[in-house]
Amino acid sequence: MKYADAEPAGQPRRELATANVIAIVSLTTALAVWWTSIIASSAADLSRHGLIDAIKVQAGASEDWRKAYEEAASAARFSAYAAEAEALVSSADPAAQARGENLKAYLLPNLQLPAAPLATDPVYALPSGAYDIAERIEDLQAGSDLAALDPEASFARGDRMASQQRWLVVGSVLLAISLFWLAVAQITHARRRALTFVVGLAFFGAGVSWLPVIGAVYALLNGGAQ
Amino acid sequence: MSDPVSTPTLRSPERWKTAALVLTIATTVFASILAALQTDADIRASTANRDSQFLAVLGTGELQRAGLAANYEITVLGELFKHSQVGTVFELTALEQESRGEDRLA
Repeated sequence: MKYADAEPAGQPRRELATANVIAIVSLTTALAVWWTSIIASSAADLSRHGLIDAIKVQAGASEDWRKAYEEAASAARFSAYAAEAEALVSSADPAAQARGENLKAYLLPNLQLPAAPLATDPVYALPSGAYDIAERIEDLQAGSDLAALDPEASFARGDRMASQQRWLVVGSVLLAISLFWLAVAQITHARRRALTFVVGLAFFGAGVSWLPVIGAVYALLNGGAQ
Repeated sequence: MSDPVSTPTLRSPERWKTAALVLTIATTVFASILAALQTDADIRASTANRDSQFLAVLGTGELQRAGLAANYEITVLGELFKHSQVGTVFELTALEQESRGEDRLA
């Protein structure tokens, strides 16, 4: 009898209040899920961007290696003919000397062209008479725009976003639990309604506080606002 | 006589209701935690997939580099053998010519 007297007066107001809070929590949950999706999408974009950069870097490196080894093969051929020409020129036979001079004058310049700069720049000459191919590859890579790309930086940034996504999901879980308790409050009465309503509000408060904290922490980690 | 019989029949639905509520809460909490774990597993799977692709790209490049280097080394080795053989043949020819008394040609 006591409840029957008290409920009709306050119940519609409480139901309306609970329904309003449920609407607010639902909207907040939708926004949190949207934000989480944006972060997940950005993380996937960064990973894909990193992979594209990795392929570009590798393509550039492969081209540099190909060029360096092509130069090296030409340089080896050039050095062999240069040695032959020197041997002929230093021979006692005048015919051999003439042949050596002609090799120097007509053949060696043409052989030198595809071997340059590996065969011509003293920077690449080793004391053993061989060429420093590794140094040549390093120089080629240093002058390449593709080598300047940093896929691992994109991956690290993508990983941070994926981590942020994990923690945002925790916020969404808190909001979902809040929504559940508020729904229970809507179908219960009197003290049980008040209790479940307060529990729902507590979870909502925790979820709503959680999301901006996570946003701020990862904004700091990423070196600025997202 | 009728009171002791009627009391359990009134309380029983309330107990079931409470039990159903507790189970529903537990299910909701477990489902939420499961969703969070699923998200975490998806992220880990994506990261592993990306890393495997990245390593595959690096591996392919390394294979190409090794192929270029091996090709160069074998070509240079072949050239070295060829020049050594030509040099040996020339030296033998010169020795033959010397033994025949053809010093000027040798």
